[in-house]
Amino acid sequence: MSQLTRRQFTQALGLGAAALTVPINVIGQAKPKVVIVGGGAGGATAARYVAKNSKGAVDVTLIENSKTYTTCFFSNLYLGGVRDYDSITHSYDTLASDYGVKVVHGYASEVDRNGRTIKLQDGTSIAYDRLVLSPGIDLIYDSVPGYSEEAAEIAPHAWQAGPQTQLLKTKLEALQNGDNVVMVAPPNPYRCPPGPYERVSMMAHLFKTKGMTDSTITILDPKPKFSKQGLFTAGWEKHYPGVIEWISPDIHGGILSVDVNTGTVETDLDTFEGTLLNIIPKQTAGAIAHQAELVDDSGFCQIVSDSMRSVVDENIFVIGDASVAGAMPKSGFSANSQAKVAAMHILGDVISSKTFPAKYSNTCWSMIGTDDGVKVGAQYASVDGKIASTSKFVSQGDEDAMVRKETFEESLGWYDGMTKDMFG
Amino acid sequence: MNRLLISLFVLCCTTSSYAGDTDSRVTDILKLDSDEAYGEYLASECSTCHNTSSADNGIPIIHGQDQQALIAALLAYQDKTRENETMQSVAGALGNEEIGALARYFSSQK
Ligand SMILES: Cc1cc2nc3c(=O)[nH]c(=O)nc-3n(C[C@H](O)[C@H](O)[C@H](O)COP(=O)(O)OP(=O)(O)OC[C@H]3O[C@@H](n4cnc5c(N)ncnc54)[C@H](O)[C@@H]3O)c2cc1C
Ligand code: HEC
Repeated sequence: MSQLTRRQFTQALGLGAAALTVPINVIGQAKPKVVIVGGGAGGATAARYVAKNSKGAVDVTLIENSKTYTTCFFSNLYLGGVRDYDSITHSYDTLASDYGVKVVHGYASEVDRNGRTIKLQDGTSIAYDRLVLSPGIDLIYDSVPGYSEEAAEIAPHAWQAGPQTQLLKTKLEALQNGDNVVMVAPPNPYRCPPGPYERVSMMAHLFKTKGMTDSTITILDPKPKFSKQGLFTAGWEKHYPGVIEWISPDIHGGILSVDVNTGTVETDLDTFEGTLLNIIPKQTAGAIAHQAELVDDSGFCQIVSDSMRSVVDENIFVIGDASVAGAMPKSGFSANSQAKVAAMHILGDVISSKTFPAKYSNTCWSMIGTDDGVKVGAQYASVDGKIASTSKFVSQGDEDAMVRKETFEESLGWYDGMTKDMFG
Repeated sequence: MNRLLISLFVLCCTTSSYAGDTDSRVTDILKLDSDEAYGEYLASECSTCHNTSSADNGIPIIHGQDQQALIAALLAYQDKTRENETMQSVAGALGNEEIGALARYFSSQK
């Protein structure tokens, strides 16, 4: 691809697509059909942008299993008592009423790539010209021996937002002063690299506000280091001295098993006990991406870096956590950014809209304590067939409190902008 | 571009803190032709943070702002005379053509 200019490549792709699907946008024929599976950070954005920018020329269907979407982003703030549950739960009504998106609530169980149709669990079949998969992650429960979907009812993961988040909140609120929490953090790659560490910050914040001065939180990590580690460690020391202990694999020697009934996690070093266990297992692309055979050995889907098109099937775009997006972390912001690139190329394919060189961006904010926000972010472009970062930044350890407060306030603005960008 | 506006801008900016070469970059950018569809595509990146009702929430509203002011602000983040690491990184990835297209797009929004 490096021998081609971007324009030539776009033209070549356009030709290829036209040859494959025999003109989608022939006058007098039915409108081209774009189907999106998953109404989360990636999928809702893709649906809104395809619908908005095609101005009625494209038939857009969004298939989403749940009636409402609770964001994982800011779910830690809900756990910490900083946000309420309603404020992180969103409806699909505006996408339907203002953008003309057909929202179908159901579980997509099968993609027929040759017939270009998608089947729902209830037997309904939906045809597509272009398909977007943004199913997010599935959890590999038994990557932590002893953990399972049933065990998650006792020791929640809360890594997919909704009932799991509420369960973890209920269990947190039920803790008494002196009760302890043990978190098992996930191995790379997983959604939201700073997420586990923001979560323990918010748990400690909750303890602090409730005067639970004798409760502690232990993180058993399979990774030797983690995102924004220096910032988190300093923040914990400042806001919650002695409350949070992070234990690296060189110390615990490996996580062997968990028993959710006794509240114990066994490691090479020792057995850890918690009144509450928060187990976050290894992750993989959502089941539908596996069923469609778009997944590689990593458990995620390879994409073409300047379009988010699957390398396996040019009629399918995979965005968000399910994709392997080069240097981009798995985040809601990334998924939203990738959705816009995919939407542009889909409209290029089906109604010959102009396409431009892909630009991607991401910022992940984390709240460590009251008015103490930190951020890490980058700009990305497609470079030699990979999504690579072209510039990046991270909050400084020695920033003054005013900057941290502004950073926290920015994150509130982002949440507002982000959810409007997804749902209208 | 309206000549009167440009001269007004040049006038006002000679008394402001903008660096001299920033002034001329603003004028250069204003002269560029910009593709509307390109502006709209580039602007989609901004909408993740800047929305039309973000009053008082840590991120300013840029829809409907003055074209020159938008260009000057983006250049100030780009040359790091204006603080904010996020905006410095965002603006750092923009060339003159992109800044021009974005400023035209946002100044035409309500
Ligand atoms: C605790 C926590 C904190 C986080 N904080 C942040 C943050 O501050 N900032 C940030 O940018 N990101 C954050 N993230 C990450 C962010 O939530 C994810 O990266 C993002 O949601 C990924 O978007 P997605 O579209 O890939 O998947 P999702 O948003 O998970 O959406 C997938 C949707 O698809 C639906 N679905 C899946 N399969 C099917 C099917 N077969 N049929 C029908 N529907 C289906 C699901 O119901 C779901 O609604 C956080 C994550 C966690 C866990
Ligand atoms: C990750 C969030 C984020 C993104 C994405 C973003 N901005 Fe910003 N923007 C901010 C924040 C925060 C500020 C306030 C910074 C400050 O205090 O100076 C800001 C300020 C600005 C300002 C100054 C406005 C004023 O009234 O002073 C302009 C102009 C601007 N942004 C343009 C853009 C454009 C154009 C884009 C897209 C190319 C963009 N921004 C993308 C967060 C963002």
